[in-house]
Amino acid sequence: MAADKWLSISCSVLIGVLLLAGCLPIPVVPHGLGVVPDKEAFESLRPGVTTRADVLLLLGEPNHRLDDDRFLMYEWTVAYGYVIVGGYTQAYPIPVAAPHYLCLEFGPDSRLVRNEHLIGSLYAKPDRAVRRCTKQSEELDESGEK
Amino acid sequence: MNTLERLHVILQFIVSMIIVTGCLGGCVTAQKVDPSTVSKYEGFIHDGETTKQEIQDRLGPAQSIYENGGILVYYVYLQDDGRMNLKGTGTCHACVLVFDKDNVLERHSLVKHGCR
Repeated sequence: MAADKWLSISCSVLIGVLLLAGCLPIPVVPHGLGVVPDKEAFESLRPGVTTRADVLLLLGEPNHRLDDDRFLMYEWTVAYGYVIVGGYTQAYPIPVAAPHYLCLEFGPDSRLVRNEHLIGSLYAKPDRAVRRCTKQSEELDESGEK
Repeated sequence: MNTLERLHVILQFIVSMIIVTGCLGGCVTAQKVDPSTVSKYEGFIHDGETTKQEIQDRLGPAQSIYENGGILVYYVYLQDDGRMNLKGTGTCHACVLVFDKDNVLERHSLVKHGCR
Protein backbone atom coordinates (compact mmCIF):
# COMPACT_ATOMS: atom_id res chain seq x y z
CA MET A 1 0.00 0.00 0.00
CA ALA A 2 2.77 2.36 1.04
CA ALA A 3 4.75 1.30 -2.05
CA ASP A 4 1.76 2.13 -4.29
CA LYS A 5 1.42 5.54 -2.74
CA TRP A 6 5.17 6.13 -3.10
CA LEU A 7 5.04 5.09 -6.77
CA SER A 8 2.04 7.32 -7.44
CA ILE A 9 3.73 10.34 -5.86
CA SER A 10 7.00 9.63 -7.70
CA CYS A 11 5.22 9.42 -11.04
CA SER A 12 3.31 12.64 -10.36
CA VAL A 13 6.52 14.43 -9.42
CA LEU A 14 8.33 13.12 -12.51
CA ILE A 15 5.49 14.16 -14.81
CA GLY A 16 5.23 17.49 -13.03
CA VAL A 17 8.95 18.15 -13.42
CA LEU A 18 8.84 17.23 -17.12
CA LEU A 19 5.80 19.43 -17.63
CA LEU A 20 7.34 22.38 -15.85
CA ALA A 21 10.67 21.89 -17.59
CA GLY A 22 8.90 22.33 -20.91
CA CYS A 23 9.57 18.75 -21.97
CA LEU A 24 5.91 17.77 -22.15
CA PRO A 25 2.97 19.88 -23.25
CA ILE A 26 0.23 20.25 -20.70
CA PRO A 27 -2.98 19.26 -22.47
CA VAL A 28 -5.94 21.62 -22.17
CA VAL A 29 -9.46 21.63 -23.53
CA PRO A 30 -8.96 22.82 -27.16
CA HIS A 31 -9.80 26.49 -27.42
CA GLY A 32 -9.38 29.22 -30.00
CA LEU A 33 -6.72 31.90 -29.89
CA GLY A 34 -7.63 35.28 -31.36
CA VAL A 35 -10.75 35.61 -33.47
CA VAL A 36 -12.55 32.36 -34.20
CA PRO A 37 -15.49 32.11 -36.62
CA ASP A 38 -18.82 31.22 -35.07
CA LYS A 39 -18.90 27.41 -35.06
CA GLU A 40 -22.69 27.20 -35.33
CA ALA A 41 -22.59 29.55 -38.31
CA PHE A 42 -19.97 27.64 -40.24
CA GLU A 43 -21.64 24.32 -39.52
CA SER A 44 -24.84 25.72 -41.01
CA LEU A 45 -23.25 26.28 -44.45
CA ARG A 46 -24.80 24.00 -47.09
CA PRO A 47 -23.31 23.39 -50.55
CA GLY A 48 -25.78 24.25 -53.30
CA VAL A 49 -27.84 26.39 -50.92
CA THR A 50 -25.61 28.89 -49.12
CA THR A 51 -24.50 31.89 -51.17
CA ARG A 52 -21.40 34.07 -50.90
CA ALA A 53 -23.60 36.81 -49.44
CA ASP A 54 -24.92 34.40 -46.77
CA VAL A 55 -21.35 33.52 -45.79
CA LEU A 56 -20.27 37.16 -45.49
CA LEU A 57 -23.41 38.07 -43.54
CA LEU A 58 -22.72 35.24 -41.09
CA LEU A 59 -18.93 35.21 -40.75
CA GLY A 60 -17.80 38.69 -41.79
CA GLU A 61 -14.63 39.33 -43.77
CA PRO A 62 -12.52 36.31 -44.75
CA ASN A 63 -8.77 36.24 -44.17
CA HIS A 64 -8.05 35.29 -47.76
CA ARG A 65 -9.87 36.16 -51.01
CA LEU A 66 -8.62 34.01 -53.87
CA ASP A 67 -9.22 33.68 -57.59
CA ASP A 68 -11.72 36.58 -57.90
CA ASP A 69 -13.55 35.45 -54.74
CA ARG A 70 -14.18 31.98 -56.11
CA PHE A 71 -12.46 30.84 -52.91
CA LEU A 72 -12.81 32.49 -49.50
CA MET A 73 -10.74 31.32 -46.55
CA TYR A 74 -11.18 31.96 -42.85
CA GLU A 75 -8.21 31.29 -40.63
CA TRP A 76 -7.88 30.82 -36.88
CA THR A 77 -5.70 29.04 -34.34
CA VAL A 78 -6.66 26.42 -31.76
CA ALA A 79 -4.50 25.66 -28.71
CA TYR A 80 -4.38 22.05 -27.56
CA GLY A 81 -1.85 22.42 -24.77
CA TYR A 82 0.82 24.59 -23.22
CA VAL A 83 4.54 24.17 -22.67
CA ILE A 84 6.01 26.01 -19.71
CA VAL A 85 9.24 27.83 -20.45
CA GLY A 86 11.27 30.04 -18.23
CA GLY A 87 13.40 29.95 -15.16
CA TYR A 88 13.01 29.87 -11.43
CA THR A 89 11.52 33.35 -11.06
CA GLN A 90 9.56 33.71 -14.30
CA ALA A 91 7.70 31.17 -16.39
CA TYR A 92 5.54 31.60 -19.48
CA PRO A 93 3.00 29.23 -20.98
CA ILE A 94 3.63 28.82 -24.72
CA PRO A 95 0.61 27.42 -26.56
CA VAL A 96 0.92 24.21 -28.53
CA ALA A 97 -1.44 25.20 -31.31
CA ALA A 98 -2.52 24.23 -34.78
CA PRO A 99 -3.89 26.42 -37.53
CA HIS A 100 -7.44 25.88 -38.77
CA TYR A 101 -8.80 27.05 -42.11
CA LEU A 102 -12.32 27.07 -43.42
CA CYS A 103 -12.03 26.85 -47.18
CA LEU A 104 -15.11 27.80 -49.18
CA GLU A 105 -15.45 27.43 -52.93
CA PHE A 106 -18.26 29.12 -54.85
CA GLY A 107 -19.72 28.37 -58.27
CA PRO A 108 -20.53 30.88 -61.03
CA ASP A 109 -24.02 31.29 -59.48
CA SER A 110 -22.36 32.46 -56.22
CA ARG A 111 -23.56 29.34 -54.41
CA LEU A 112 -21.30 27.26 -52.21
CA VAL A 113 -19.78 24.32 -54.05
CA ARG A 114 -17.40 23.00 -51.42
CA ASN A 115 -16.59 23.71 -47.79
CA GLU A 116 -13.58 22.12 -46.25
CA HIS A 117 -12.13 22.44 -42.78
CA LEU A 118 -8.33 22.16 -42.98
CA ILE A 119 -6.59 21.43 -39.71
CA GLY A 120 -3.05 20.70 -38.64
CA SER A 121 0.57 21.69 -38.60
CA LEU A 122 0.77 20.58 -42.24
CA TYR A 123 -0.81 23.97 -42.91
CA ALA A 124 1.47 25.90 -40.56
CA LYS A 125 2.40 28.01 -43.57
CA PRO A 126 -0.77 29.60 -44.98
CA ASP A 127 0.38 29.13 -48.60
CA ARG A 128 0.02 25.34 -48.23
CA ALA A 129 -3.55 25.81 -47.06
CA VAL A 130 -4.16 28.24 -49.91
CA ARG A 131 -2.79 25.70 -52.41
CA ARG A 132 -5.00 22.96 -50.99
CA CYS A 133 -8.03 25.25 -50.90
CA THR A 134 -7.66 26.44 -54.46
CA LYS A 135 -7.44 22.90 -55.78
CA GLN A 136 -10.68 22.97 -57.65
CA SER A 137 -13.49 20.56 -56.83
CA GLU A 138 -13.04 18.68 -60.09
CA GLU A 139 -9.36 18.01 -59.35
CA LEU A 140 -10.20 16.74 -55.85
CA ASP A 141 -12.90 14.45 -57.29
CA GLU A 142 -10.43 13.01 -59.78
CA SER A 143 -7.70 12.46 -57.22
CA GLY A 144 -10.19 10.91 -54.78
CA GLU A 145 -9.04 13.27 -52.03
CA LYS A 146 -12.46 14.73 -51.38
CA MET B 1 1.85 16.12 4.93
CA ASN B 2 5.40 15.38 3.83
CA THR B 3 7.41 17.36 1.29
CA LEU B 4 6.57 15.13 -1.68
CA GLU B 5 2.83 15.25 -0.98
CA ARG B 6 3.03 19.01 -0.66
CA LEU B 7 4.88 19.19 -4.01
CA HIS B 8 2.19 16.98 -5.53
CA VAL B 9 -0.54 19.36 -4.36
CA ILE B 10 1.38 22.40 -5.64
CA LEU B 11 1.85 20.78 -9.06
CA GLN B 12 -1.84 19.90 -9.25
CA PHE B 13 -2.67 23.51 -8.43
CA ILE B 14 -0.31 24.89 -11.10
CA VAL B 15 -1.64 22.54 -13.78
CA SER B 16 -5.26 23.37 -12.83
CA MET B 17 -4.55 27.10 -13.06
CA ILE B 18 -2.97 26.71 -16.50
CA ILE B 19 -5.93 24.67 -17.72
CA VAL B 20 -8.43 27.20 -16.38
CA THR B 21 -6.46 30.13 -17.81
CA GLY B 22 -6.16 28.38 -21.15
CA CYS B 23 -9.85 27.63 -21.30
CA LEU B 24 -11.02 31.09 -20.38
CA GLY B 25 -8.55 33.46 -21.96
CA GLY B 26 -7.54 34.77 -25.35
CA CYS B 27 -10.46 33.84 -27.58
CA VAL B 28 -13.28 35.78 -29.17
CA THR B 29 -15.90 34.55 -31.61
CA ALA B 30 -16.78 36.39 -34.79
CA GLN B 31 -20.54 36.33 -34.49
CA LYS B 32 -23.46 37.83 -36.36
CA VAL B 33 -25.80 39.95 -34.27
CA ASP B 34 -29.49 40.60 -34.88
CA PRO B 35 -29.88 42.78 -38.06
CA SER B 36 -32.32 45.04 -36.23
CA THR B 37 -29.41 45.99 -34.01
CA VAL B 38 -27.71 47.72 -36.95
CA SER B 39 -30.87 49.64 -37.85
CA LYS B 40 -31.08 50.71 -34.23
CA TYR B 41 -27.47 51.90 -34.32
CA GLU B 42 -27.80 53.62 -37.69
CA GLY B 43 -31.37 54.68 -38.38
CA PHE B 44 -30.94 55.13 -42.13
CA ILE B 45 -30.14 51.47 -42.83
CA HIS B 46 -33.34 49.61 -43.75
CA ASP B 47 -33.71 46.48 -45.87
CA GLY B 48 -35.83 47.08 -48.98
CA GLU B 49 -35.54 50.86 -48.67
CA THR B 50 -32.01 52.21 -48.42
CA THR B 51 -30.09 52.53 -51.68
CA LYS B 52 -26.41 51.91 -52.23
CA GLN B 53 -25.97 55.58 -53.13
CA GLU B 54 -27.43 56.67 -49.78
CA ILE B 55 -25.11 54.30 -47.93
CA GLN B 56 -22.06 55.51 -49.84
CA ASP B 57 -23.05 59.16 -49.35
CA ARG B 58 -23.29 58.61 -45.60
CA LEU B 59 -20.46 56.14 -45.01
CA GLY B 60 -18.08 56.79 -47.92
CA PRO B 61 -16.25 54.06 -49.80
CA ALA B 62 -16.47 50.56 -48.34
CA GLN B 63 -13.44 48.70 -47.01
CA SER B 64 -14.28 45.65 -49.10
CA ILE B 65 -16.38 45.13 -52.20
CA TYR B 66 -17.67 41.76 -53.45
CA GLU B 67 -19.64 40.67 -56.50
CA ASN B 68 -19.04 43.88 -58.46
CA GLY B 69 -20.44 46.06 -55.71
CA GLY B 70 -23.38 43.82 -54.83
CA ILE B 71 -21.92 43.33 -51.37
CA LEU B 72 -20.20 46.07 -49.36
CA VAL B 73 -18.35 45.59 -46.10
CA TYR B 74 -17.64 48.49 -43.75
CA TYR B 75 -15.36 48.21 -40.73
CA VAL B 76 -17.11 49.85 -37.81
CA TYR B 77 -16.46 50.54 -34.15
CA LEU B 78 -19.23 50.79 -31.59
CA GLN B 79 -19.35 53.83 -29.35
CA ASP B 80 -20.43 53.63 -25.72
CA ASP B 81 -23.94 54.81 -26.67
CA GLY B 82 -24.22 52.00 -29.23
CA ARG B 83 -23.79 54.12 -32.36
CA MET B 84 -21.52 52.93 -35.13
CA ASN B 85 -18.39 54.87 -35.93
CA LEU B 86 -16.17 54.39 -38.95
CA LYS B 87 -13.09 55.49 -37.08
CA GLY B 88 -12.16 54.33 -33.67
CA THR B 89 -10.07 52.15 -31.50
CA GLY B 90 -10.77 48.81 -29.94
CA THR B 91 -12.79 46.03 -31.42
CA CYS B 92 -13.54 46.20 -35.12
CA HIS B 93 -16.87 44.82 -36.35
CA ALA B 94 -17.93 44.14 -39.93
CA CYS B 95 -21.09 45.76 -41.22
CA VAL B 96 -22.07 43.65 -44.25
CA LEU B 97 -24.58 45.11 -46.73
CA VAL B 98 -26.08 43.07 -49.58
CA PHE B 99 -27.84 44.91 -52.43
CA ASP B 100 -30.29 43.66 -55.04
CA LYS B 101 -29.93 44.26 -58.78
CA ASP B 102 -31.61 47.68 -58.41
CA ASN B 103 -28.98 48.67 -55.83
CA VAL B 104 -31.49 48.65 -52.98
CA LEU B 105 -30.41 47.12 -49.69
CA GLU B 106 -31.66 43.55 -49.55
CA ARG B 107 -30.06 42.24 -46.35
CA HIS B 108 -27.48 43.42 -43.87
CA SER B 109 -25.74 42.24 -40.73
CA LEU B 110 -23.25 43.29 -38.12
CA VAL B 111 -20.65 40.61 -37.43
CA LYS B 112 -18.95 41.26 -34.12
CA HIS B 113 -15.15 40.85 -34.41
CA GLY B 114 -15.85 40.29 -38.11
CA CYS B 115 -12.89 42.34 -39.48
CA ARG B 116 -9.76 40.49 -40.51
